[in-house]
Amino acid sequence: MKILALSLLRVGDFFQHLHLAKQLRGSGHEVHFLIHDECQSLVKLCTDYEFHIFPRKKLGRQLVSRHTHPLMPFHLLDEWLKKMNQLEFDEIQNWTHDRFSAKLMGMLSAPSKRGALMVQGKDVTCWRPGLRYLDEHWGASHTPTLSYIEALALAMEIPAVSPAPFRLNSTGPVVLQVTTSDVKKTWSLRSWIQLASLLADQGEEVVVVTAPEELISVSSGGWDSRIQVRGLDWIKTWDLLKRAKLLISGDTSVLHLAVHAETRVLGLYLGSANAKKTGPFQYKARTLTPQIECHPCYHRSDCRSQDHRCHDLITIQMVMDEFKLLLKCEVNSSYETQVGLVLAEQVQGPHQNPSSNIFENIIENRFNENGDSYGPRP
Amino acid sequence: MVQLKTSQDGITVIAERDGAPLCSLRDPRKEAVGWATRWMELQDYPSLVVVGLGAAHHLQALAEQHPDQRISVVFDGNDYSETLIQVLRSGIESQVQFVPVQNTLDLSQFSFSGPILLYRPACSGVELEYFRIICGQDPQTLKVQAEKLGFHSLASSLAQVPPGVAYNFASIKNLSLAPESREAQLVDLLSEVVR
Repeated sequence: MKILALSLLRVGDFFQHLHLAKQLRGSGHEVHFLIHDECQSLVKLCTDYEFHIFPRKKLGRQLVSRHTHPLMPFHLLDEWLKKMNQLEFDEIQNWTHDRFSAKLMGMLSAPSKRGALMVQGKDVTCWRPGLRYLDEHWGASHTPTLSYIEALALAMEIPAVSPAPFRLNSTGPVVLQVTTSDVKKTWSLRSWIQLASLLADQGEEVVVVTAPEELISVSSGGWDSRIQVRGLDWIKTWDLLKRAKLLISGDTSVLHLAVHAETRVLGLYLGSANAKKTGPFQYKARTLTPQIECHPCYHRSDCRSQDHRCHDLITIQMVMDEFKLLLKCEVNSSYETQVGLVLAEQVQGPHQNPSSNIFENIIENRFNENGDSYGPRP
Repeated sequence: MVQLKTSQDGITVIAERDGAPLCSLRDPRKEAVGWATRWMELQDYPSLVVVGLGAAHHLQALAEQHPDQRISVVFDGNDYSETLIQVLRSGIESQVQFVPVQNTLDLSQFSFSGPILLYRPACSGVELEYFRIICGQDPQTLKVQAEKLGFHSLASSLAQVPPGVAYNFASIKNLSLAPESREAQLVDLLSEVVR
């Protein structure tokens, strides 16, 4: 089947979606991705898939620009939809699960559609049990049994998505990704600098990786001269991760990319980062999470205590201990997918579609309840 | 009528309309480069539209900054002789399309394929009106253009925009379009883009 997957969230979400795409591809399907123009740099990185670009940035600019004819965004979107509908997909799967993607699904043509779907402002989603699970259990106020990838696989009825394997590299650099998309999720630069020096003291080659546009601010932090700080694009980051011994990172897109590079991962899940939801989808990956009642907090709200006290609960010594364990491969806990179990729970009882407006209601409730959006935003 | 002269350095060409300069007298190239630099972010459009011709220094600067983009320049054709247009086209003719407009009727057939940039120093009052029309601020022209694009429901609703309100996405969004029309669905989706 020729399948179009709507992956219209952030880069980190795309890397998580890649697990599902691999599974579909392994089953003989031709997988196409629809991504935003802001994520266009991913096309060169993932050459196994066909990509289609939704011009969100361009449309957004046209819609507010004084220099644009008011009909231009209509024309651009109309032409884009016509082109997409000529591609004759057998199935479209909505892996984004928000209002925008549900409406977009409604305007794209395919004999089969899976996931949130709205037509003329009305929810016409076929609420299969897995999708209902995703919808009902995956809000910010819930702690689901399944991870995001497992829940999405369940919702799309993609069977047996397994955590990625890892390589045991005895050589290569230890890579640190020190920034995240949100200050709440970011361990202090001071802690990272101390950790890097300690690792260098133990003879490790340490590379701090950051986006090229963040290089100046990250590199000016006062790093030990033994530490390399590099601003890398996705291709170079991938090459570095492939030969790395290990990655230590917050909940970032680089962490999710490292999983695909089969690099061992140690995640520091602070603030709103929820390891149960978007932890590294890799066997024997480790995450450190602060033991404090407010963790994980909501994405879109400020730190309740204002001082990000959960950051101090992850100490440098704790990270070093986990690092040593990972290097010795002495980690006992393995990541076990629980899709089968929950599927069994979910499929009990009759499956009725929710009442006509429930999708709308849920969306509204979610927004009102905690200001969070549908999909994960690592 | 527009005429060409040399600037204070005695080398660079400047344009004047009825004695009023249409670009900097001292350093028109520098002024043009400064203007073109403002549009660096428009690299990803296949084409750009400029209103105002002057001595065409700004077009040369824009063409240098956007070598892969097609540029159309709209100007009042009544103000420029054929000979003068030939002179100004020289060196940029492969990238810049000259669109002399005789009256506003010509503009309803104009195809808006890119952002519309105003080069104000070169514009007469007539050309400022052309800019307004090209930017979709004239209801009659907008209606014709909507019809041309097949947006019939939108075309018939455009008359509902109250006088004095700019025609932009916000005002179009407030129109009562038929819910099943393609335009209504496009508005719905575009609303999510700017949400």
